[in-house]
Amino acid sequence: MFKTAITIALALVTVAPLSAQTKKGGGSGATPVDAKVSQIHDRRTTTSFAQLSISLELAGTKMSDVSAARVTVLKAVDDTGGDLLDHEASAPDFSPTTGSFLRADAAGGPASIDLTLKNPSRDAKTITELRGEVELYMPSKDPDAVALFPKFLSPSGKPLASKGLKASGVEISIVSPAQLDAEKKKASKAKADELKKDGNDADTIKWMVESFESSFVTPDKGEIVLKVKDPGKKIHEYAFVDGAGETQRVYARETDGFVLLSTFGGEPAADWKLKVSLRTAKTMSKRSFVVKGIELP
Amino acid sequence: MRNTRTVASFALILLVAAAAGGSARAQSGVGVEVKAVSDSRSRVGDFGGSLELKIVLTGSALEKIGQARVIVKSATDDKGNVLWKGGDPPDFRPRDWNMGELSVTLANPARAAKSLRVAGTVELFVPAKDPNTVVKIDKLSTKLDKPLSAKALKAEKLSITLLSPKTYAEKQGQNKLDDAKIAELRAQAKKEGASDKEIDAAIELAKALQELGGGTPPEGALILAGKEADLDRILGVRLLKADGSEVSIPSRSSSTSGGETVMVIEPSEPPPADATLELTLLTKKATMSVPFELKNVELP
Repeated sequence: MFKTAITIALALVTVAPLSAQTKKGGGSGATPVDAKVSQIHDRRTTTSFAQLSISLELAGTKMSDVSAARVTVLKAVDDTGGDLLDHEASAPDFSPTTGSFLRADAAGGPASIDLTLKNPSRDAKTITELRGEVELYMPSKDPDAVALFPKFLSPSGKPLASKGLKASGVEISIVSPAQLDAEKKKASKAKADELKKDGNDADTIKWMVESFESSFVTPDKGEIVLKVKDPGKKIHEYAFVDGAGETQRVYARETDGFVLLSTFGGEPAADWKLKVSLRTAKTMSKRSFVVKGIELP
Repeated sequence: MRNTRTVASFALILLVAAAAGGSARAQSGVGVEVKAVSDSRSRVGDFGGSLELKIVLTGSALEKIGQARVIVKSATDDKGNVLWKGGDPPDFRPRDWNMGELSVTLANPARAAKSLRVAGTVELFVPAKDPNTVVKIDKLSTKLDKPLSAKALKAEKLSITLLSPKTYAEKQGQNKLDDAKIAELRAQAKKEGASDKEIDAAIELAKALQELGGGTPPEGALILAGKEADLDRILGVRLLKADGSEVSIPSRSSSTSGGETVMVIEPSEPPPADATLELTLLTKKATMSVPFELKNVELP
Protein backbone atom coordinates (compact mmCIF):
# COMPACT_ATOMS: atom_id res chain seq x y z
CA MET A 1 0.00 0.00 0.00
CA PHE A 2 1.50 3.24 -1.20
CA LYS A 3 -0.08 5.45 1.38
CA THR A 4 0.63 3.13 4.24
CA ALA A 5 3.05 4.66 6.67
CA ILE A 6 5.95 2.31 6.88
CA THR A 7 7.03 2.38 10.43
CA ILE A 8 10.36 1.27 11.63
CA ALA A 9 11.33 -0.01 15.00
CA LEU A 10 14.35 1.61 16.51
CA ALA A 11 15.88 -1.80 16.90
CA LEU A 12 16.00 -2.23 13.13
CA VAL A 13 19.40 -0.66 12.90
CA THR A 14 21.20 -3.96 12.84
CA VAL A 15 24.86 -4.81 12.66
CA ALA A 16 25.01 -4.89 8.87
CA PRO A 17 23.55 -1.42 8.25
CA LEU A 18 25.66 0.01 11.01
CA SER A 19 28.75 -1.18 9.23
CA ALA A 20 27.39 0.36 6.01
CA GLN A 21 26.84 3.64 7.82
CA THR A 22 30.34 3.60 9.14
CA LYS A 23 31.67 2.91 5.67
CA LYS A 24 29.77 5.99 4.38
CA GLY A 25 31.20 8.05 7.19
CA GLY A 26 27.92 9.07 8.67
CA GLY A 27 26.91 6.35 11.06
CA SER A 28 27.54 7.91 14.42
CA GLY A 29 24.89 9.67 16.46
CA ALA A 30 21.96 9.24 14.09
CA THR A 31 18.60 8.96 15.81
CA PRO A 32 16.26 6.49 14.11
CA VAL A 33 12.94 8.01 13.04
CA ASP A 34 9.70 6.81 11.52
CA ALA A 35 9.57 7.77 7.86
CA LYS A 36 6.81 7.47 5.32
CA VAL A 37 6.75 8.03 1.60
CA SER A 38 4.70 11.09 0.70
CA GLN A 39 5.63 11.36 -2.98
CA ILE A 40 7.29 9.08 -5.48
CA HIS A 41 8.15 9.88 -9.07
CA ASP A 42 9.79 7.39 -11.39
CA ARG A 43 10.93 9.46 -14.35
CA ARG A 44 11.90 7.03 -17.05
CA THR A 45 13.16 8.63 -20.20
CA THR A 46 15.38 8.12 -23.18
CA THR A 47 16.60 11.70 -22.71
CA SER A 48 18.21 13.35 -19.68
CA PHE A 49 17.37 13.23 -16.00
CA ALA A 50 16.08 9.68 -15.72
CA GLN A 51 15.72 9.05 -11.99
CA LEU A 52 13.49 7.91 -9.18
CA SER A 53 12.62 10.73 -6.77
CA ILE A 54 11.18 10.03 -3.36
CA SER A 55 9.96 12.42 -0.69
CA LEU A 56 9.90 11.12 2.85
CA GLU A 57 8.05 12.64 5.79
CA LEU A 58 9.91 12.36 9.05
CA ALA A 59 7.72 11.83 12.08
CA GLY A 60 8.38 13.94 15.13
CA THR A 61 10.13 16.79 13.30
CA LYS A 62 8.25 19.91 12.30
CA MET A 63 8.61 21.20 8.75
CA SER A 64 9.00 24.74 10.08
CA ASP A 65 12.09 23.74 12.10
CA VAL A 66 14.07 22.35 9.18
CA SER A 67 15.45 24.67 6.55
CA ALA A 68 17.87 22.30 4.81
CA ALA A 69 18.78 18.65 4.73
CA ARG A 70 21.59 16.48 3.46
CA VAL A 71 20.47 12.95 2.68
CA THR A 72 22.84 10.01 2.37
CA VAL A 73 21.19 6.87 1.05
CA LEU A 74 22.98 3.79 2.28
CA LYS A 75 20.88 1.09 0.69
CA ALA A 76 18.12 1.00 -1.90
CA VAL A 77 17.14 -2.23 -3.63
CA ASP A 78 14.10 -3.24 -5.64
CA ASP A 79 12.36 -6.61 -5.59
CA THR A 80 14.29 -7.82 -8.61
CA GLY A 81 17.49 -7.33 -6.66
CA GLY A 82 18.42 -4.16 -8.54
CA ASP A 83 20.70 -1.74 -6.71
CA LEU A 84 19.18 1.73 -7.01
CA LEU A 85 22.15 3.61 -5.58
CA ASP A 86 24.05 5.74 -8.05
CA HIS A 87 27.62 4.96 -7.08
CA GLU A 88 28.93 7.48 -9.61
CA ALA A 89 27.01 10.39 -8.09
CA SER A 90 28.85 13.19 -6.35
CA ALA A 91 28.67 13.45 -2.57
CA PRO A 92 25.34 14.81 -1.35
CA ASP A 93 25.10 18.41 -0.26
CA PHE A 94 22.56 20.35 1.78
CA SER A 95 19.39 21.26 -0.09
CA PRO A 96 16.67 23.64 1.08
CA THR A 97 13.60 21.81 2.36
CA THR A 98 9.97 22.67 1.67
CA GLY A 99 9.73 24.30 5.08
CA SER A 100 12.37 26.84 4.14
CA PHE A 101 10.12 28.20 1.38
CA LEU A 102 7.06 28.57 3.59
CA ARG A 103 6.16 30.95 6.35
CA ALA A 104 6.52 29.31 9.75
CA ASP A 105 2.75 29.36 10.34
CA ALA A 106 2.14 27.60 7.02
CA ALA A 107 4.76 24.93 7.60
CA GLY A 108 3.08 23.05 10.40
CA GLY A 109 3.33 19.51 9.00
CA PRO A 110 6.13 17.02 9.39
CA ALA A 111 9.53 17.74 7.88
CA SER A 112 9.99 16.34 4.41
CA ILE A 113 13.21 15.31 2.71
CA ASP A 114 13.88 14.45 -0.91
CA LEU A 115 16.22 11.86 -2.34
CA THR A 116 16.96 10.51 -5.79
CA LEU A 117 17.84 7.01 -6.91
CA LYS A 118 18.37 5.20 -10.17
CA ASN A 119 15.28 3.96 -12.01
CA PRO A 120 14.18 0.54 -10.85
CA SER A 121 13.59 -2.16 -13.41
CA ARG A 122 10.21 -2.08 -15.17
CA ASP A 123 9.76 -5.59 -13.80
CA ALA A 124 10.11 -4.34 -10.24
CA LYS A 125 6.97 -3.78 -8.21
CA THR A 126 8.42 -2.49 -4.97
CA ILE A 127 11.51 -1.10 -3.36
CA THR A 128 12.17 -3.74 -0.79
CA GLU A 129 14.38 -1.57 1.36
CA LEU A 130 15.39 2.05 1.47
CA ARG A 131 17.84 2.92 4.20
CA GLY A 132 19.72 6.11 4.85
CA GLU A 133 20.66 9.01 7.05
CA VAL A 134 19.76 12.64 6.93
CA GLU A 135 21.47 15.62 8.49
CA LEU A 136 18.89 18.26 9.32
CA TYR A 137 19.75 21.92 9.59
CA MET A 138 17.45 23.53 12.15
CA PRO A 139 18.51 27.13 12.72
CA SER A 140 15.66 27.80 15.14
CA LYS A 141 17.35 25.52 17.67
CA ASP A 142 20.15 28.02 18.31
CA PRO A 143 19.46 31.73 18.77
CA ASP A 144 23.05 32.52 17.79
CA ALA A 145 22.89 30.58 14.52
CA VAL A 146 21.37 33.39 12.49
CA ALA A 147 23.00 36.79 12.50
CA LEU A 148 21.41 39.88 10.93
CA PHE A 149 23.47 42.85 9.86
CA PRO A 150 21.67 46.11 9.00
CA LYS A 151 23.30 48.90 7.02
CA PHE A 152 25.70 46.49 5.35
CA LEU A 153 25.80 48.73 2.29
CA SER A 154 27.80 51.25 4.35
CA PRO A 155 30.69 49.10 5.54
CA SER A 156 32.68 50.35 8.51
CA GLY A 157 35.80 48.59 7.34
CA LYS A 158 35.70 46.32 10.37
CA PRO A 159 34.59 42.67 10.32
CA LEU A 160 30.92 42.05 11.07
CA ALA A 161 30.42 41.29 14.73
CA SER A 162 28.04 38.76 16.25
CA LYS A 163 28.16 36.23 19.05
CA GLY A 164 27.47 33.40 16.60
CA LEU A 165 30.20 34.40 14.14
CA LYS A 166 32.73 34.66 16.93
CA ALA A 167 31.77 31.31 18.47
CA SER A 168 31.98 29.65 15.04
CA GLY A 169 35.37 31.16 14.26
CA VAL A 170 33.94 32.97 11.23
CA GLU A 171 35.11 36.39 10.10
CA ILE A 172 33.18 38.34 7.46
CA SER A 173 34.06 41.79 6.17
CA ILE A 174 32.09 43.80 3.63
CA VAL A 175 34.43 45.03 0.95
CA SER A 176 33.72 48.53 -0.39
CA PRO A 177 34.59 49.43 -4.01
CA ALA A 178 37.59 51.45 -2.77
CA GLN A 179 38.79 48.53 -0.67
CA LEU A 180 38.34 46.16 -3.60
CA ASP A 181 40.38 48.50 -5.78
CA ALA A 182 43.12 48.61 -3.14
CA GLU A 183 43.06 44.79 -2.93
CA LYS A 184 43.37 44.63 -6.71
CA LYS A 185 46.42 46.93 -6.67
CA LYS A 186 47.97 44.91 -3.88
CA ALA A 187 47.37 41.65 -5.75
CA SER A 188 48.76 43.18 -8.97
CA LYS A 189 51.92 44.27 -7.22
CA ALA A 190 52.36 40.82 -5.70
CA LYS A 191 51.85 39.31 -9.16
CA ALA A 192 54.43 41.67 -10.70
CA ASP A 193 56.93 40.88 -7.94
CA GLU A 194 56.44 37.18 -8.48
CA LEU A 195 56.93 37.49 -12.25
CA LYS A 196 60.04 39.60 -11.77
CA LYS A 197 61.44 37.07 -9.32
CA ASP A 198 60.88 34.39 -11.94
CA GLY A 199 63.10 36.34 -14.34
CA ASN A 200 60.49 37.68 -16.77
CA ASP A 201 61.34 40.79 -18.81
CA ALA A 202 59.51 44.11 -18.36
CA ASP A 203 57.24 43.71 -21.38
CA THR A 204 56.16 40.23 -20.35
CA ILE A 205 55.50 41.41 -16.80
CA LYS A 206 53.47 44.39 -18.05
CA TRP A 207 51.38 42.19 -20.35
CA MET A 208 50.78 39.53 -17.73
CA VAL A 209 49.89 42.01 -14.98
CA GLU A 210 47.40 43.72 -17.32
CA SER A 211 45.92 40.34 -18.09
CA PHE A 212 45.76 39.53 -14.37
CA GLU A 213 44.03 42.83 -13.61
CA SER A 214 41.47 42.42 -16.39
CA SER A 215 40.46 39.04 -15.03
CA PHE A 216 40.40 40.19 -11.40
CA VAL A 217 37.02 40.04 -9.72
CA THR A 218 34.62 42.70 -10.99
CA PRO A 219 31.29 42.74 -9.19
CA ASP A 220 28.13 43.08 -11.26
CA LYS A 221 25.72 45.90 -10.47
CA GLY A 222 24.09 45.22 -7.12
CA GLU A 223 26.55 42.50 -6.10
CA ILE A 224 27.89 42.66 -2.55
CA VAL A 225 31.52 41.71 -2.06
CA LEU A 226 32.65 39.93 1.11
CA LYS A 227 35.98 38.78 2.45
CA VAL A 228 35.30 35.62 4.42
CA LYS A 229 37.34 33.47 6.76
CA ASP A 230 35.49 30.27 7.59
CA PRO A 231 38.05 27.59 8.44
CA GLY A 232 35.47 25.24 9.96
CA LYS A 233 33.00 25.59 7.03
CA LYS A 234 30.36 26.82 9.45
CA ILE A 235 28.52 29.21 7.12
CA HIS A 236 25.36 27.50 5.92
CA GLU A 237 24.03 30.27 3.69
CA TYR A 238 23.65 33.97 3.11
CA ALA A 239 20.40 35.80 2.48
CA PHE A 240 19.08 39.33 2.40
CA VAL A 241 16.09 40.58 4.35
CA ASP A 242 14.39 43.40 2.49
CA GLY A 243 12.71 46.48 3.94
CA ALA A 244 9.39 44.63 4.19
CA GLY A 245 10.99 41.85 6.19
CA GLU A 246 10.88 39.33 3.36
CA THR A 247 13.85 37.04 2.94
CA GLN A 248 15.48 37.35 -0.46
CA ARG A 249 17.43 34.27 -1.45
CA VAL A 250 21.01 34.91 -2.40
CA TYR A 251 23.25 33.48 -5.07
CA ALA A 252 26.81 33.36 -3.73
CA ARG A 253 29.87 32.93 -5.91
CA GLU A 254 33.49 32.73 -4.91
CA THR A 255 36.29 34.20 -6.97
CA ASP A 256 39.79 35.52 -6.29
CA GLY A 257 39.28 34.90 -2.58
CA PHE A 258 36.13 37.02 -2.39
CA VAL A 259 32.51 35.98 -1.96
CA LEU A 260 30.02 37.87 -4.12
CA LEU A 261 26.34 37.94 -3.23
CA SER A 262 23.47 38.77 -5.55
CA THR A 263 19.76 38.17 -5.58
CA PHE A 264 16.96 37.91 -8.10
CA GLY A 265 14.81 39.86 -5.64
CA GLY A 266 16.33 43.16 -6.71
CA GLU A 267 19.32 45.27 -5.87
CA PRO A 268 19.92 45.54 -2.10
CA ALA A 269 18.64 48.83 -0.67
CA ALA A 270 19.75 50.85 2.34
CA ASP A 271 17.07 49.31 4.58
CA TRP A 272 18.00 45.73 3.72
CA LYS A 273 19.82 43.44 6.11
CA LEU A 274 22.42 40.78 5.47
CA LYS A 275 21.48 37.47 7.04
CA VAL A 276 24.16 34.86 7.76
CA SER A 277 23.08 31.40 8.86
CA LEU A 278 25.61 29.23 10.66
CA ARG A 279 25.82 25.51 11.23
CA THR A 280 26.38 25.26 14.95
CA ALA A 281 26.28 22.11 17.03
CA LYS A 282 22.79 22.93 18.28
CA THR A 283 21.40 23.42 14.76
CA MET A 284 22.51 20.07 13.40
CA SER A 285 20.63 16.86 13.97
CA LYS A 286 21.21 13.51 12.35
CA ARG A 287 18.44 10.95 11.81
CA SER A 288 18.42 7.51 10.27
CA PHE A 289 15.52 5.92 8.45
CA VAL A 290 14.50 2.59 6.99
CA VAL A 291 11.45 2.20 4.79
CA LYS A 292 10.40 -1.17 3.44
CA GLY A 293 8.00 -2.35 0.77
CA ILE A 294 7.59 0.91 -1.14
CA GLU A 295 5.16 0.27 -3.96
CA LEU A 296 6.42 1.61 -7.28
CA PRO A 297 4.16 3.72 -9.52
CA MET B 1 19.73 5.37 -26.68
CA ARG B 2 17.90 2.14 -27.06
CA ASN B 3 14.71 3.33 -28.61
CA THR B 4 15.09 6.94 -29.58
CA ARG B 5 15.28 6.23 -33.24
CA THR B 6 12.27 4.04 -33.67
CA VAL B 7 11.29 4.68 -37.22
CA ALA B 8 7.70 4.53 -38.29
CA SER B 9 6.76 1.35 -39.97
CA PHE B 10 5.11 3.11 -42.80
CA ALA B 11 6.13 5.11 -45.77
CA LEU B 12 4.11 8.12 -46.64
CA ILE B 13 3.89 9.25 -50.15
CA LEU B 14 2.96 12.85 -50.38
CA LEU B 15 2.30 14.71 -53.51
CA VAL B 16 3.35 17.87 -51.78
CA ALA B 17 5.71 19.08 -54.45
CA ALA B 18 3.20 18.51 -57.19
CA ALA B 19 0.40 20.17 -55.31
CA ALA B 20 2.49 23.12 -54.23
CA GLY B 21 4.29 23.68 -57.49
CA GLY B 22 1.37 23.00 -59.72
CA SER B 23 3.49 21.36 -62.37
CA ALA B 24 6.10 19.03 -60.99
CA ARG B 25 4.72 15.69 -59.99
CA ALA B 26 7.67 14.62 -57.91
CA GLN B 27 6.75 12.41 -55.04
CA SER B 28 8.21 13.00 -51.61
CA GLY B 29 8.19 10.65 -48.64
CA VAL B 30 7.57 11.87 -45.12
CA GLY B 31 8.54 9.63 -42.26
CA VAL B 32 7.70 9.72 -38.58
CA GLU B 33 10.39 9.03 -36.00
CA VAL B 34 10.10 8.73 -32.27
CA LYS B 35 12.89 10.92 -30.99
CA ALA B 36 12.29 10.46 -27.27
CA VAL B 37 10.07 8.56 -24.87
CA SER B 38 9.43 9.77 -21.33
CA ASP B 39 7.33 7.64 -19.03
CA SER B 40 6.73 9.85 -16.06
CA ARG B 41 5.23 7.70 -13.33
CA SER B 42 4.14 9.58 -10.25
CA ARG B 43 2.16 9.33 -7.13
CA VAL B 44 2.03 12.86 -5.84
CA GLY B 45 -1.20 13.39 -3.93
CA ASP B 46 -4.01 12.91 -6.43
CA PHE B 47 -1.77 13.46 -9.43
CA GLY B 48 -0.71 10.58 -11.60
CA GLY B 49 1.72 10.62 -14.45
CA SER B 50 1.78 10.47 -18.22
CA LEU B 51 3.80 9.18 -21.10
CA GLU B 52 5.14 11.63 -23.64
CA LEU B 53 6.46 10.85 -27.08
CA LYS B 54 8.56 13.39 -28.92
CA ILE B 55 7.97 12.84 -32.59
CA VAL B 56 9.85 14.29 -35.53
CA LEU B 57 8.97 14.24 -39.19
CA THR B 58 11.56 13.29 -41.74
CA GLY B 59 11.77 13.42 -45.49
CA SER B 60 12.39 15.74 -48.38
CA ALA B 61 8.84 17.17 -48.39
CA LEU B 62 9.31 18.91 -45.05
CA GLU B 63 10.32 22.25 -46.50
CA LYS B 64 6.84 22.63 -47.95
CA ILE B 65 5.19 22.07 -44.59
CA GLY B 66 4.44 25.16 -42.55
CA GLN B 67 2.96 23.53 -39.49
CA ALA B 68 2.02 20.08 -38.27
CA ARG B 69 0.27 18.19 -35.52
CA VAL B 70 -0.18 14.58 -34.52
CA ILE B 71 -3.66 13.26 -33.92
CA VAL B 72 -3.68 9.97 -32.07
CA LYS B 73 -6.37 7.45 -32.95
CA SER B 74 -5.24 4.58 -30.76
CA ALA B 75 -2.43 3.65 -28.42
CA THR B 76 -1.89 0.46 -26.45
CA ASP B 77 0.94 -1.13 -24.53
CA ASP B 78 2.08 -4.70 -25.05
CA LYS B 79 -0.03 -5.79 -22.08
CA GLY B 80 -3.15 -4.65 -23.90
CA ASN B 81 -3.77 -1.50 -21.87
CA VAL B 82 -5.41 1.37 -23.72
CA LEU B 83 -3.27 4.50 -23.41
CA TRP B 84 -5.46 6.90 -25.38
CA LYS B 85 -9.09 7.50 -24.59
CA GLY B 86 -9.75 10.46 -26.85
CA GLY B 87 -9.54 14.18 -26.39
CA ASP B 88 -9.29 17.48 -28.21
CA PRO B 89 -6.77 17.58 -31.05
CA PRO B 90 -3.58 19.49 -30.23
CA ASP B 91 -2.77 22.83 -31.83
CA PHE B 92 -0.69 22.95 -34.98
CA ARG B 93 2.97 23.67 -34.30
CA PRO B 94 5.18 25.65 -36.68
CA ARG B 95 7.95 23.52 -38.10
CA ASP B 96 10.60 25.84 -36.70
CA TRP B 97 9.42 25.46 -33.10
CA ASN B 98 11.33 23.08 -30.84
CA MET B 99 13.36 21.81 -33.76
CA GLY B 100 10.20 20.49 -35.36
CA GLU B 101 9.36 18.19 -32.44
CA LEU B 102 5.72 17.28 -31.97
CA SER B 103 4.44 16.00 -28.64
CA VAL B 104 2.03 13.18 -28.00
CA THR B 105 0.81 12.69 -24.44
CA LEU B 106 -0.65 9.33 -23.43
CA ALA B 107 -1.59 7.56 -20.24
CA ASN B 108 1.14 5.61 -18.47
CA PRO B 109 1.58 2.07 -19.73
CA ALA B 110 1.66 -0.81 -17.28
CA ARG B 111 4.79 -0.80 -15.19
CA ALA B 112 5.71 -4.21 -16.56
CA ALA B 113 5.03 -3.23 -20.18
CA LYS B 114 8.00 -3.26 -22.52
CA SER B 115 6.67 -1.50 -25.61
CA LEU B 116 3.72 0.33 -27.07
CA ARG B 117 1.97 0.88 -30.34
CA VAL B 118 0.52 4.19 -31.52
CA ALA B 119 -1.58 4.86 -34.58
CA GLY B 120 -3.07 8.07 -35.85
CA THR B 121 -2.60 10.75 -38.43
CA VAL B 122 -0.10 13.49 -38.96
CA GLU B 123 -1.86 16.61 -40.13
CA LEU B 124 0.30 18.81 -42.28
CA PHE B 125 -0.37 22.42 -43.11
CA VAL B 126 1.03 23.17 -46.55
CA PRO B 127 0.30 26.86 -47.16
CA ALA B 128 1.58 26.79 -50.74
CA LYS B 129 -1.37 24.58 -51.68
CA ASP B 130 -3.94 27.29 -51.13
CA PRO B 131 -3.60 31.04 -51.76
CA ASN B 132 -6.45 31.61 -49.34
CA THR B 133 -4.17 30.73 -46.43
CA VAL B 134 -2.78 34.26 -46.45
CA VAL B 135 -4.98 37.26 -45.67
CA LYS B 136 -3.54 40.75 -45.80
CA ILE B 137 -5.31 43.64 -44.09
CA ASP B 138 -4.01 47.16 -44.69
CA LYS B 139 -5.17 50.59 -43.51
CA LEU B 140 -5.87 49.05 -40.13
CA SER B 141 -7.15 52.18 -38.43
CA THR B 142 -10.04 52.43 -40.91
CA LYS B 143 -11.19 48.86 -40.31
CA LEU B 144 -11.96 48.89 -36.62
CA ASP B 145 -15.04 47.36 -35.00
CA LYS B 146 -16.55 45.78 -38.10
CA PRO B 147 -15.90 42.35 -39.62
CA LEU B 148 -12.78 42.38 -41.79
CA SER B 149 -13.42 42.07 -45.47
CA ALA B 150 -11.12 39.86 -47.55
CA LYS B 151 -11.66 37.35 -50.32
CA ALA B 152 -10.07 34.53 -48.34
CA LEU B 153 -12.12 35.25 -45.23
CA LYS B 154 -15.28 35.22 -47.32
CA ALA B 155 -14.28 32.02 -49.08
CA GLU B 156 -13.56 30.33 -45.77
CA LYS B 157 -16.72 31.80 -44.18
CA LEU B 158 -14.76 33.38 -41.34
CA SER B 159 -15.84 36.47 -39.48
CA ILE B 160 -13.02 38.28 -37.69
CA THR B 161 -13.18 41.79 -36.30
CA LEU B 162 -10.33 44.14 -35.45
CA LEU B 163 -11.39 45.83 -32.22
CA SER B 164 -10.70 49.39 -31.13
CA PRO B 165 -9.39 49.77 -27.56
CA LYS B 166 -12.75 51.27 -26.57
CA THR B 167 -14.77 48.31 -27.84
CA TYR B 168 -12.25 45.92 -26.29
CA ALA B 169 -12.68 47.64 -22.92
CA GLU B 170 -16.48 47.39 -23.26
CA LYS B 171 -16.23 43.68 -24.06
CA GLN B 172 -13.97 43.11 -21.09
CA GLY B 173 -16.54 44.86 -18.90
CA GLN B 174 -19.33 42.66 -20.26
CA ASN B 175 -17.33 39.52 -19.55
CA LYS B 176 -16.34 40.58 -16.06
CA LEU B 177 -17.09 38.02 -13.40
CA ASP B 178 -19.55 39.96 -11.27
CA ASP B 179 -21.72 38.52 -8.50
CA ALA B 180 -24.61 37.82 -10.88
CA LYS B 181 -22.37 35.98 -13.32
CA ILE B 182 -20.74 33.97 -10.53
CA ALA B 183 -24.18 32.99 -9.20
CA GLU B 184 -25.21 31.93 -12.69
CA LEU B 185 -22.05 29.85 -13.14
CA ARG B 186 -22.46 28.32 -9.69
CA ALA B 187 -26.04 27.27 -10.43
CA GLN B 188 -25.03 25.79 -13.77
CA ALA B 189 -22.11 23.86 -12.28
CA LYS B 190 -24.31 22.60 -9.44
CA LYS B 191 -26.79 21.34 -12.01
CA GLU B 192 -23.97 19.45 -13.68
CA GLY B 193 -23.09 17.74 -10.40
CA ALA B 194 -19.97 19.67 -9.35
CA SER B 195 -19.28 19.94 -5.62
CA ASP B 196 -19.14 23.28 -3.81
CA LYS B 197 -15.40 22.79 -3.32
CA GLU B 198 -14.85 22.20 -7.04
CA ILE B 199 -17.02 25.17 -7.95
CA ASP B 200 -15.19 27.47 -5.51
CA ALA B 201 -11.85 26.37 -6.92
CA ALA B 202 -13.03 26.91 -10.51
CA ILE B 203 -14.36 30.38 -9.70
CA GLU B 204 -11.12 31.38 -7.96
CA LEU B 205 -9.18 30.14 -10.98
CA ALA B 206 -11.45 32.07 -13.35
CA LYS B 207 -10.98 35.23 -11.28
CA ALA B 208 -7.21 34.79 -11.30
CA LEU B 209 -7.17 34.20 -15.05
CA GLN B 210 -9.34 37.26 -15.55
CA GLU B 211 -6.87 39.31 -13.53
CA LEU B 212 -4.07 38.02 -15.72
CA GLY B 213 -5.89 38.64 -18.97
CA GLY B 214 -7.68 41.82 -17.94
CA GLY B 215 -6.66 45.41 -18.06
CA THR B 216 -6.00 47.71 -20.94
CA PRO B 217 -3.76 46.27 -23.65
CA PRO B 218 -0.53 48.17 -24.28
CA GLU B 219 -0.52 51.00 -26.77
CA GLY B 220 -0.19 49.68 -30.29
CA ALA B 221 -1.73 46.29 -29.51
CA LEU B 222 -3.98 44.82 -32.18
CA ILE B 223 -7.07 43.00 -30.99
CA LEU B 224 -8.95 40.45 -33.03
CA ALA B 225 -12.32 39.05 -32.00
CA GLY B 226 -14.65 36.46 -33.39
CA LYS B 227 -16.14 33.05 -32.85
CA GLU B 228 -13.79 30.61 -31.14
CA ALA B 229 -13.87 28.26 -34.13
CA ASP B 230 -13.00 31.12 -36.49
CA LEU B 231 -10.06 32.44 -34.48
CA ASP B 232 -8.79 28.91 -33.96
CA ARG B 233 -8.15 28.91 -37.71
CA ILE B 234 -5.52 31.64 -37.36
CA LEU B 235 -2.21 29.81 -37.39
CA GLY B 236 0.08 32.78 -37.79
CA VAL B 237 0.13 36.55 -37.49
CA ARG B 238 2.66 38.96 -39.00
CA LEU B 239 2.81 42.72 -39.05
CA LEU B 240 4.49 44.24 -42.08
CA LYS B 241 5.72 47.78 -42.68
CA ALA B 242 5.24 49.43 -46.07
CA ASP B 243 8.81 48.52 -47.08
CA GLY B 244 8.05 44.85 -46.44
CA SER B 245 10.08 44.62 -43.23
CA GLU B 246 8.45 42.88 -40.33
CA VAL B 247 7.53 44.25 -36.91
CA SER B 248 8.19 41.47 -34.43
CA ILE B 249 5.34 40.23 -32.27
CA PRO B 250 6.79 39.09 -28.96
CA SER B 251 3.42 38.42 -27.35
CA ARG B 252 0.15 37.02 -28.62
CA SER B 253 -2.53 35.76 -26.27
CA SER B 254 -6.11 34.59 -26.59
CA SER B 255 -8.97 34.29 -24.16
CA THR B 256 -12.32 32.66 -24.81
CA SER B 257 -15.60 33.30 -23.09
CA GLY B 258 -19.05 32.21 -24.17
CA GLY B 259 -17.76 30.83 -27.47
CA GLU B 260 -16.12 34.11 -28.45
CA THR B 261 -12.36 34.50 -28.58
CA VAL B 262 -10.39 37.69 -28.22
CA MET B 263 -6.79 37.64 -29.43
CA VAL B 264 -4.44 40.37 -28.24
CA ILE B 265 -1.41 40.87 -30.47
CA GLU B 266 1.35 42.95 -28.94
CA PRO B 267 3.98 44.09 -31.43
CA SER B 268 7.41 45.22 -30.29
CA GLU B 269 6.58 48.74 -31.47
CA PRO B 270 3.34 50.55 -32.31
CA PRO B 271 2.38 49.64 -35.87
CA PRO B 272 2.93 52.44 -38.43
CA ALA B 273 -0.21 53.89 -40.03
CA ASP B 274 0.58 52.12 -43.29
CA ALA B 275 1.27 48.73 -41.69
CA THR B 276 -0.32 45.57 -43.04
CA LEU B 277 -1.60 42.77 -40.84
CA GLU B 278 -1.02 39.36 -42.37
CA LEU B 279 -2.96 36.38 -41.07
CA THR B 280 -2.16 32.78 -41.94
CA LEU B 281 -5.34 30.72 -42.02
CA LEU B 282 -5.81 27.01 -41.72
CA THR B 283 -7.82 25.92 -44.74
CA LYS B 284 -9.03 22.51 -45.77
CA LYS B 285 -7.26 22.76 -49.11
CA ALA B 286 -3.92 23.43 -47.42
CA THR B 287 -4.25 20.55 -44.97
CA MET B 288 -3.01 17.05 -45.61
CA SER B 289 -3.82 14.18 -43.35
CA VAL B 290 -1.46 11.24 -43.43
CA PRO B 291 -2.01 8.03 -41.45
CA PHE B 292 0.81 6.49 -39.44
CA GLU B 293 1.43 3.56 -37.19
CA LEU B 294 4.35 3.19 -34.79
CA LYS B 295 4.83 -0.39 -33.68
CA ASN B 296 7.09 -1.65 -30.93
CA VAL B 297 8.07 1.68 -29.46
CA GLU B 298 10.39 0.47 -26.76
CA LEU B 299 9.69 1.82 -23.27
CA PRO B 300 12.51 3.20 -21.12
